[in-house]
Amino acid sequence: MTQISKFFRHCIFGAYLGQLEIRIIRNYFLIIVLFSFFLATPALALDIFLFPAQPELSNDSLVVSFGLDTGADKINAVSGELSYDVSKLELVTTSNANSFISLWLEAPNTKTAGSVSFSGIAPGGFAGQGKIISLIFKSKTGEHEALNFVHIKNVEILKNDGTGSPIATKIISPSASLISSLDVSSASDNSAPELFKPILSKNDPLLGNQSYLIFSTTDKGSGVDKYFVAETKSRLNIHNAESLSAAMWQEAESPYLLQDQSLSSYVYVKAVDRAGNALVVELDQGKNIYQFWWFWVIIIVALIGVCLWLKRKFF
Amino acid sequence: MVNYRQIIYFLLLTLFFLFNPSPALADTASSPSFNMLEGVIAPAGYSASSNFKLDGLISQFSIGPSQAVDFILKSGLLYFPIISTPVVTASAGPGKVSLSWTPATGLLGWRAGEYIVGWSDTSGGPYNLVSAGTDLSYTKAGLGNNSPYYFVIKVKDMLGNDVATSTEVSATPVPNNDNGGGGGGGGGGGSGSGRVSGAGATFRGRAFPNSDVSLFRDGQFVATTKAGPDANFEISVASLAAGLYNFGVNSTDNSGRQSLIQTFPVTLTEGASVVVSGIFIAPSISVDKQEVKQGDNIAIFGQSIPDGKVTIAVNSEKQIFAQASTDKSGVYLYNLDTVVLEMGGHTAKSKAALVNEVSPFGPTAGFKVGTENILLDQAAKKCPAKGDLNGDCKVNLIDFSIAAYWYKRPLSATFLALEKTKLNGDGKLNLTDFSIMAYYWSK
Repeated sequence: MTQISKFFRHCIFGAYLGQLEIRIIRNYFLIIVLFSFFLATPALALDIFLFPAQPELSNDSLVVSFGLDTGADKINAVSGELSYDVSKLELVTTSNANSFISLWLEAPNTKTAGSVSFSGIAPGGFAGQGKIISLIFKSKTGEHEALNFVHIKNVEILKNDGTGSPIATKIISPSASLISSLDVSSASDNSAPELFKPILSKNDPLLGNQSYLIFSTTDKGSGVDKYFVAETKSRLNIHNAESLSAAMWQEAESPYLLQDQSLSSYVYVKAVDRAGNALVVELDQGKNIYQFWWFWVIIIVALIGVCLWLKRKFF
Repeated sequence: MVNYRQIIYFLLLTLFFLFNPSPALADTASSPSFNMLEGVIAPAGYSASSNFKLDGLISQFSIGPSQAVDFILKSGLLYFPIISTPVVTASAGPGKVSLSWTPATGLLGWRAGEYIVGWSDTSGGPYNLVSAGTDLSYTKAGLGNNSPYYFVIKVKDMLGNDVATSTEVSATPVPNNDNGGGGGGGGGGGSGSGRVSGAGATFRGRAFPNSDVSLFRDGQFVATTKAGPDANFEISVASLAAGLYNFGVNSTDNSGRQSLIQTFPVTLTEGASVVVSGIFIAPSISVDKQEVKQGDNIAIFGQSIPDGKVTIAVNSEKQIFAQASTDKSGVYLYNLDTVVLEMGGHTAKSKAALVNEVSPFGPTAGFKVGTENILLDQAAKKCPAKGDLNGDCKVNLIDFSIAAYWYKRPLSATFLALEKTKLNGDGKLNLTDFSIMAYYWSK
């Protein structure tokens, strides 16, 4: 035992192997090296998994979500693909509700039948257990289990290390506690998307020297469904439904090329979630008061009024 | 004939490698005052008492604590604090408190082996201890409602030594009927269905003295506050919907440099208030030269907490560590003699320590060791090293949108030039470039 403990101690500290029998070492050197290769750096793969989730809305039938557990690693970019058996399942929609991915390069889309691809980032990085996307299906065969017919493909996950190093992944079967910690959906969503602040990018040479509207938000309950933009000459009351409905809303994606490149219009963005809750925000253009047309109307009217008063008083 | 001796050796060796903590990962460490070749990680740390301080290596082979009546020695490899303290999130529920924490990150391959949750009904303890294994969350149930409880997370290394303890966080369990969601509007500037749950979160920690501290929610800047002269800050958000949020905090130092965002995943339930405590913003860092003549000094400087210690790691063929103190305003400066650095590109990064709290490493500052001295221009000292596509010294939604605009399109010559200098420089725009932007994200 003394020899064994010496051996371990010397191995651990990388020192002289001492008085052990060289023959034993030689015999098992290859095996040790192999074990070192395969066992010495444990758990460097990041766990990814599918899990059956609660319906996000009362009319959702079968929901399969894709999640991960980063362990001690911090990641910031994810792309991948989920395939499903089209003979068993009909994809109703996709959802990014409660996803830790907040900016999407490719929002979950179905460009290919039987497959949903996606890619996005988590600014600042994410460490922990999180959900990426959910797929909402209707069963074609009356089965209530969709999990067996959905598969993870081509997943790429990058570390939050400033260089975008890829990290290996491993598909696992999640524990019940892991699923319950991630599945915080409720069957009703009464909350509007999160408050956000649109940004104006003026005459950027990287965007063709034109002015663009940039915006993004998230929705925890059911996920952002669509954005709409309105450009108006008169100011809207964003707390008044009648005022908002009078505007011409155009479905939009960020970056949105403004129609009024002179930037003389009021600009509004409306984010709508899958449950129909909407949030409207106004673009703060940082204009001085004299940059608004109504300012000059007031000035002109005031000047005319003063002139009329002077005329009446003195002439 | 079966050789049982060999089989026993084989089995023991197999068991050793199966349960082996991450291997020694020997590395070379040096500073102007020491040089250690192929050092092996052993339980380490700095040692101090009210009248004694040990900064140095006691014995590489002395594992575990040595204790006297009024002094504890935890001997080890280096005197540099090498493992960051966890940032703890506490969320109270009926009769329970859910805790989660950020991983304690080590250096030179050192990793946390176990997290211990300490809880007490008295601030400062003594704490009841329970192991959470390597999990990053734990729920303490069976607590009385309407009384505060206090928690710390202790970190053990792979050999079972205590290496870090978080700051204390408190939470008060509340009965179910106190947990109903309140009302609330959508907030200024917007209109919508409003927040029905009224969940909120409070963030406490250390940044830079008198600095602006920004709070991000899922990458969006949402609030700002001013840190005190002691660098402590507290910032809150309210009226949030229930769900999983990826909150982040960063700070701007006295020279206008923004720190990296430190993020914390927080799950909010309806009506619940969450406290995230022990945030320690990593130091800012810059250098005075973009190229330094080999053998000349290069100044490495930045800002952190006042009267703290900053450990600077310089990445080169031989990993170099140096330590500097911060002054009352949190500023630190270290003049590195480049005689020990090989020619070529290098990076430096830093982490700070104050008493038992240790920050994670901050951003890197790059420089080249060459044949002449070339000063770094002022803009480069302030701006992020990568990701700032529109040149406003920020990496935010505008830069993301510019890159997203060109994603899967033929790149223009202008954008291609930017990709070379501001992204990963492979002439393509892919997920790696967006990952770089996410890392350098700022207000």
